[in-house]
Amino acid sequence: MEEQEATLVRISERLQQLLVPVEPPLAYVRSLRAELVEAARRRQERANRLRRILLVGAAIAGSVASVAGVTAFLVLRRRARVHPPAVVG
Amino acid sequence: MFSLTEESTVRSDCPPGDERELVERAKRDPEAFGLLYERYVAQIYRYLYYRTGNPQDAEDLTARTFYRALEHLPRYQERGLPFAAWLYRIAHNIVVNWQRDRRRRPVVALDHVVMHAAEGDPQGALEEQEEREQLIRAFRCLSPERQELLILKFVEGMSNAQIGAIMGRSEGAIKSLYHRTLLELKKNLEGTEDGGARSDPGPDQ
Repeated sequence: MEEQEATLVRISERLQQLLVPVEPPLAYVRSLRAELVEAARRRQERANRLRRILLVGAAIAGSVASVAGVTAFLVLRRRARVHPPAVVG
Repeated sequence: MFSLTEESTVRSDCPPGDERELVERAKRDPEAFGLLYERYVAQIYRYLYYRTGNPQDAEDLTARTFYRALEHLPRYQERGLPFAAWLYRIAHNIVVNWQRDRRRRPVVALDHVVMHAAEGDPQGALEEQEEREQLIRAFRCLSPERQELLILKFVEGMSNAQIGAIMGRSEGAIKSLYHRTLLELKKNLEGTEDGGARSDPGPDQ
């Protein structure tokens, strides 16, 4: 049992020597950062553009609905004047 | 124009509130994403370096990891785990797919790891090299999860509690997994000495 523990400790020490921290090349880190930030910026712009389109679309839809509502109201009122409902009795 | 700031040396042990705020900002602000990248790029690179065995593939997969993180960040929700855990998950999935696509275990290069050859003792240096290669082969035979544990422990110098937070397990479970990993390595090394590494991943629950 003690022998096994000693072997495991030895393996652990060898791992410590093998698995040492490595650093990515600085030029690579910088260039990837620039690419990512640019990609994030483009993505943000696309999202903003989509938001604007949705906003303008919603505004147009709202306006059309309002105009349609007013028109419908006027048409119905005119129709009511021309053909007044028959009075019962 | 940008400069890598001191952020690049900051590890995941920064205050959680600070990290949470940065992640939220990064969802809307490209520069904040840049800071997040600086904070974790070295960790993710090291992880992928030891999972792939060579710097070129590590660079390629690191880039893929961060592009995927950028793509999925708007849907990221903090669930009590450090942000690094999410990044490690992405990196893990990417490296697993990469290995599957290539239909091979990664080449055991790791030539760039600093060697501590015994100067002036060629025989000793040769033995040391042989031992090192055996250990690398045995390491490669481990399940991805066990490799991840060893990388976090030795390369990142994390405690069992920190590793547990990353891997979504308790500290005790990590301790136990580590012990089983050493036992498996021992078995693999004995197998190597008998003429080839073998693997016996066993249940990791």
